[in-house]
Amino acid sequence: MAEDQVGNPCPYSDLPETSFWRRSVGAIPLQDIDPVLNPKFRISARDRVATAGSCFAQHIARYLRNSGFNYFVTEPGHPILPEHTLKDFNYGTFSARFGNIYTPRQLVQLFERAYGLRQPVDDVWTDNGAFVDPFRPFIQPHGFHCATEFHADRAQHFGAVREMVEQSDVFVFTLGLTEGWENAVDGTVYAICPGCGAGVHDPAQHRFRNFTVDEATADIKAAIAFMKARNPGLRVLLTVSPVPLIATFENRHVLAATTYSKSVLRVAAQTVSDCDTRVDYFPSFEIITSSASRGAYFADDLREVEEIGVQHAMRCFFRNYIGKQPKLTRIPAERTPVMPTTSERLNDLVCDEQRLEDLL
Amino acid sequence: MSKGGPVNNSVSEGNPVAGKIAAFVFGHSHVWSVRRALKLGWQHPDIKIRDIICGTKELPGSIVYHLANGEPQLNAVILAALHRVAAMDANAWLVSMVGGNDYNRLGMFSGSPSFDFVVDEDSQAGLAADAMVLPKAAVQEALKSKTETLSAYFPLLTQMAGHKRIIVIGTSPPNATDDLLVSHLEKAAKGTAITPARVRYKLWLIQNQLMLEHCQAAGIHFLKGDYPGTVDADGYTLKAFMKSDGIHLNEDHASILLDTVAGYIAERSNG
Repeated sequence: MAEDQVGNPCPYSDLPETSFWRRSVGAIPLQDIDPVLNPKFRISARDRVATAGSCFAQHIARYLRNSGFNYFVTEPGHPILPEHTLKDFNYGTFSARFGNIYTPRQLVQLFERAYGLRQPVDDVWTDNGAFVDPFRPFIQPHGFHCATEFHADRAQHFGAVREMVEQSDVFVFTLGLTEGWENAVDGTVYAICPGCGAGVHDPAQHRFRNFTVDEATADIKAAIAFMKARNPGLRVLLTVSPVPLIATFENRHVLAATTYSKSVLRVAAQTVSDCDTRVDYFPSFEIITSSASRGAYFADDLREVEEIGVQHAMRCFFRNYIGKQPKLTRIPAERTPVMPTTSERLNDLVCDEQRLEDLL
Repeated sequence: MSKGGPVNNSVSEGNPVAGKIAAFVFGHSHVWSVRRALKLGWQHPDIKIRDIICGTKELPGSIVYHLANGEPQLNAVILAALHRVAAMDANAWLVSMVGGNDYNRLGMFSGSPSFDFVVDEDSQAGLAADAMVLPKAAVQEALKSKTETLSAYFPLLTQMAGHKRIIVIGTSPPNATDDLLVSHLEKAAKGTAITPARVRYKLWLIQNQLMLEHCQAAGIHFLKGDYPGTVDADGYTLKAFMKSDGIHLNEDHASILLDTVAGYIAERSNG
């Protein structure tokens, strides 16, 4: 009996420390927890890294940009616009000016629309004379002032999306929600529930959807396949947003609805990642939400993620995918020297020259 | 308006002509042409106009400063000039030509890519095919940042002047061609694309709207710079009124400007 025990050791005995909770989570300092194992690829400083998804994707974009990486922005706005205006109008928030993309279905349909493969029946909203994009309703304050501006901006935006699809080296997509609202006629998914902050709710037109794990998985696969068909070398990093649902339309508690939604997205991300060598899952969700942090990574509302939590996630991201640490300090805005633009410099020159002509 | 022989209009030359309403012009580089028109003998039967501050070096720094406690204060040069005017003629009109070039400072040179925006529904045909389309509201916000000082300047002006006889002169629209600008800035702006006149015209429209709003908020008069006879059918300033730099206006234009200002003052003084 004793010999049998020696000959058949416990199969867990040779596993690495990362397989054991106590050794890799429970008994080590929080900041040392790194749940990333065997990343499938690395990201170099030259790689064009695009981001899309829910709010949490903005943190990844911010760290990449601040750390000197090639954050790929195909719709950056124009240099004549000051920093605060670029921010107000969501230039550079994500790689293109698409705003938050909460569900995988939205992402697939954005690609379809950008390539002229989908023409939604409900394509523009009007609000007090302003034109609002149902698929990015908060992309700029007060909407677009006329139809011409709306369509010109939309066309430019689609061009930027196509450029992102075709020229990114790495695409980071943060999965946010499974709950969404779609048009009852053609199934086009809105960015928000129409009537909640923008648009007018019409129960006959607007239908609630809570995507299943099979649907979410199929949509993620479809989005990646769409991109790879146009960009074969693309690497994809999937993450799940740790930010809980702000509200659920299901007849269940928002806490239970959040767990369901994040679970579906987590399973879908793993499923897609497991069958594609160029698709990886980055566990920012686990870093922020695990019991190891004892909720310390959430703000007082228990929803927004604190910067310290973002820093932890980004340390792991940089360590495993980039091989260096991110820049965690930022130069205060007031200390940033303001350089005159060409228009300012040359106008000053012109004005100064005026005196030379005063020879009367 | 009449053009006679050279007349000395310097403010230091004495008190306003008896019987005439006095007006004093001040501002940056655009006042040079006004000074030249005055020196060339511009006159009006009822209004006597003089310049009191002329040039960027004569009016250095910001037009509004903020004290340590955050309180805004007029530029000391303007403040001193206003005191001089008040001492000479408490009923004089003030004509401000300050702050009109912000639209050029924002976007005279667009670099690559160029930019464009839709001012109104009818202007679709004007969008350049290869330009980056910007939301009008974003351009407005950017220009508003550039003209932010004016929101403090105009109220201070009315406060210090002690009356509402203040006219703000908007700049004139650009010329329809870029050749003057290109030749003038050939060396300084080498390799830098000049924003097409059509787009600069749109910026000018927004600038005027902002200036008008600032003036209305402060309760002061605003005169738009596209005086009849100085612009073509599309609204661009005629080349005959442009100086060789492609930005400033010449003394002939200034003469019309002075006619317009004098007429405006006369109308309100008689009424």
